[in-house]
Amino acid sequence: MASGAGAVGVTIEDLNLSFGSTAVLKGIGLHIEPGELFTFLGPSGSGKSTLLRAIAGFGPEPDGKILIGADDVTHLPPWQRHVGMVFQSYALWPHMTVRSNVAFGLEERKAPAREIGDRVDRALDLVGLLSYADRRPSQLSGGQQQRVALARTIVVEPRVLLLDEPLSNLDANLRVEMRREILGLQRKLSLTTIFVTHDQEEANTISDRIAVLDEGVIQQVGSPMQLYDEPSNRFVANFLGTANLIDGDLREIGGKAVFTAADGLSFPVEGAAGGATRGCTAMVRPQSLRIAAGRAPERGGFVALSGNVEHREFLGSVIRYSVRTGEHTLLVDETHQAGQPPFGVGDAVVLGLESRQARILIE
Amino acid sequence: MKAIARGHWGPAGVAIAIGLLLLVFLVVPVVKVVYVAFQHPHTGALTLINFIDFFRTSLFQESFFNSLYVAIMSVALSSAFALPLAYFTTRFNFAGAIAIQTLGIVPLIMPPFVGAVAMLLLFGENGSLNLLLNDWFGVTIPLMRGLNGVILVESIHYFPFILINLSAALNNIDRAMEESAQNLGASGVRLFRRIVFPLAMPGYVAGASLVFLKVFDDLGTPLLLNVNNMLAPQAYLRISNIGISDPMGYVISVILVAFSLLALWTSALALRGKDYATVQKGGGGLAKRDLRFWEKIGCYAVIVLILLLVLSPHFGLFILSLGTIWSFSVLPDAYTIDHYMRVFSTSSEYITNTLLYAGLAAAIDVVLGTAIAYVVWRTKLIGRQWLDYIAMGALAIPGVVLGIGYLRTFYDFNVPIIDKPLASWWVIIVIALAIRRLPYALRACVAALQQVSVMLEEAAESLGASKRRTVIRIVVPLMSGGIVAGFVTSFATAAVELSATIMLVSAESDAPLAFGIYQYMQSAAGRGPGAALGIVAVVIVGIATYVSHRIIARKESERAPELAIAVGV
Ligand SMILES: Nc1ncnc2c1ncn2[C@@H]1O[C@H](COP(=O)(O)OP(=O)(O)O)[C@@H](O)[C@H]1O
Ligand SMILES: [Mg+2]
Repeated sequence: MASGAGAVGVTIEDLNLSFGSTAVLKGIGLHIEPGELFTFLGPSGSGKSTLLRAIAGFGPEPDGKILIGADDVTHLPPWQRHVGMVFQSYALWPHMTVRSNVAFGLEERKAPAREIGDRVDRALDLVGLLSYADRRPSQLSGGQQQRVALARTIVVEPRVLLLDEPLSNLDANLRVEMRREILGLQRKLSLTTIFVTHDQEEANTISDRIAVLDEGVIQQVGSPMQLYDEPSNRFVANFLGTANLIDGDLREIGGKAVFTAADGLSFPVEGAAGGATRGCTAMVRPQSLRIAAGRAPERGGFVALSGNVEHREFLGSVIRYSVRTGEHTLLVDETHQAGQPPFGVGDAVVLGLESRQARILIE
Repeated sequence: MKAIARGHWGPAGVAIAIGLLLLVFLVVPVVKVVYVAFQHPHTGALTLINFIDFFRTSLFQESFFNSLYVAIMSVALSSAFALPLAYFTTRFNFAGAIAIQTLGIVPLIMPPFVGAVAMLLLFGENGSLNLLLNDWFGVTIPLMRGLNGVILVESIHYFPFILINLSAALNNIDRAMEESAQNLGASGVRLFRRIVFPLAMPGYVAGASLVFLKVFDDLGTPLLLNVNNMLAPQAYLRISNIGISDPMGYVISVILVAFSLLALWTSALALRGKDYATVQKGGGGLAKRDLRFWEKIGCYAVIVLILLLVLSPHFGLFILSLGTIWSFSVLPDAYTIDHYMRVFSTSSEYITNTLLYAGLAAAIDVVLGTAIAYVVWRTKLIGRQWLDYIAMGALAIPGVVLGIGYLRTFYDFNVPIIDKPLASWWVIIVIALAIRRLPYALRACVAALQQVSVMLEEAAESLGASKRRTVIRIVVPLMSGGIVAGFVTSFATAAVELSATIMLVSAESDAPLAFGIYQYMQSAAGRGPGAALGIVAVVIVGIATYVSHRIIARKESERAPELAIAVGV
């Protein structure tokens, strides 16, 4: 199997791609490190599959450059790229046994018969399906088919592993199990891997780094925590979790940055880059707001906003309140403990915000 | 209680009536043919002697191997035409794909025998092509000599059966199946051989076995090309020259039926448990590849060549119908519309007979088809599946065999009033056509019925309509698109049927178009009028097909809201 030392990176430079006259990928630039597990995350139709397929050599020919290691593969046909792709539908050939499916790539590479036998056995062993070698794909469960598809791809020791929504056809329990298995396999083989998903939880749990895509444009690249805590725009902020987004301006008052919304809501912010900016957005995650009855005095670095509860949702581990303050409705999460009475609709409450938890998005 | 009882007796009565009809006009004649084949010609005892005689006679041996050879080679040649066309149109982007797919109706609107003589004039020993080749290069190609001619004519007409089935199969393959193979290093011919073709195999086998069956059973083409040392022509010639007591015709019939069944069985086997159609579950859509310049040139060259060949019988027939004398020359000496005048003044009976026979047969077919479909899919009658099986079994019965069976079974049966044997009354031709084309109409009706939600019927019944009223007021109107399609398919194919007809026509005045074409084409002087009659047949069938397309398209748009409601309930 591939060894970590041989892992190569993937570089994409100013990639544009269109189907007919519809531009689907716009100005994509990325560098994926050798051995990294990198994820394309975005809503359906954002161009994730198209980008992944462009790396594998499928779809319309793009403008720009795709490098695997140091090789420019932009104009190579799929069969000369040595990247391994696992398809969403698994695409196991129904007229071949599991063993012949897995052997296919090695046969195309004209490997000696003995070597093919050994390597196929090892690959099937790795995914725990050696005893199923002589079955047909139709005689396997979804999870097993997924493993065969993986084995078929890694047996040829591709330079990069591409996975297009590999878990989307599995039921919820199996999805978690396969997710761990894929991660384990990827770490064991130190194989540079690109994973496509529309599910942020899946992306967060598995990825070293994530590129968030929307409408064919990369919105942000970063580690899962970076994207969650420091999104660079409203789209990323929303896509990675629930966010309160407040429009306003950033002012400088007495050497301090102060965020001010139209209705007068204002609070100082820490670590906001650059001086005064008109038209920006403050993002606050619901769990960063504290909710309490009555009125609390303002303390250093802690802002108090008073309002009324408009709506309440019980989510299990937390209770989510919609609180009206001035012109804004803010979502607040409070951890739920048994026996603790919740606030009712209409209750007057005060929201506390630690000012360093607010993040200013400048677009 | 009463309503329930009535609801059951109606369908049962209909089922029994249809069963009897199929028994008398399909099962009994065929069983009779098989029985006679195993009967000693003099003693009447059961014996294999007829088969032994058959295989001891060198002419029959030769005919048997010729028929087999022609059928196999036709499948091979048809595949050579269909494979590239199917692959190019389903995998690459280029204009003309629709034109190529439209070829699918060619075997329906014109049977091979109609164009056979024209093909002789274009590609025969002294045909246009060979005259030119001889002039330019001093060589000739025996394209139409003997069996070659039959193979060429049959392949050109029947390859669309493979094209259509194969294209459907290729379109049903999840594109990821091929992409994953490319991703693992396969491309070009290897990709096609190892992945694409095996996945499309069931569709290919279905088409190929249909071609085999059609060619093996075909009577008209070899007769018109004057190739008599094949099975179907031998059966016909024995019966028409020696008489209906000669056992060889029956032996040949049994062999024809056996091979037809074999072909159908092969295709059923190929399709069983191999539903490879893999619905796309995500990823890119049907990504057809653009061709590079030279690839495009190559593709177009192949396609133009095949199209020219496929359309040559039609061109040839058209020229022949307008030419004065066409012999030993590239094109006719001069042009005239005399042939058409002659056909319309002296032979209009052929045309009216055809419209009458094919119209009646198609009407019978859709009535039977609708009734059988309803009984099989909407009732719980015991043994109802057998109606479907027996009606579809007509596919495996060659026209010659049915013709012989009718002659044998109904010759002794005198129709009262007109005082004539049923076997030589024109009505028997209508019945033969109806039985032979019933499978087409039945499949169309079944497809139409399956699209009518049972809930729509239940709604009518809950509002107080009886079973019979529900069928008349709800089911049949909703099925009408499919019924029209079934009618036209039956009509169009019955209008040009020759093999059963040729055995059953007992008087010139009872003869339909196909028989007239055959009669004319027998003599050199009759070729012009024969071709004109052929063009008339093509036009009739073409108009029928076009009209049905229009009606079906209109019906579909009318039905759309009802369908949406049915689905939404
Ligand atoms: N073969 C195609 N032809 C035309 N448009 C396509 C094709 N494949 C994808 N698209 C379009 O490209 C966009 C991105 O699609 P895709 O990459 O599949 O999105 P994702 O995988 O992120 O859901 C979509 O708007 C889709 O409609
Ligand atoms: Mg996708």
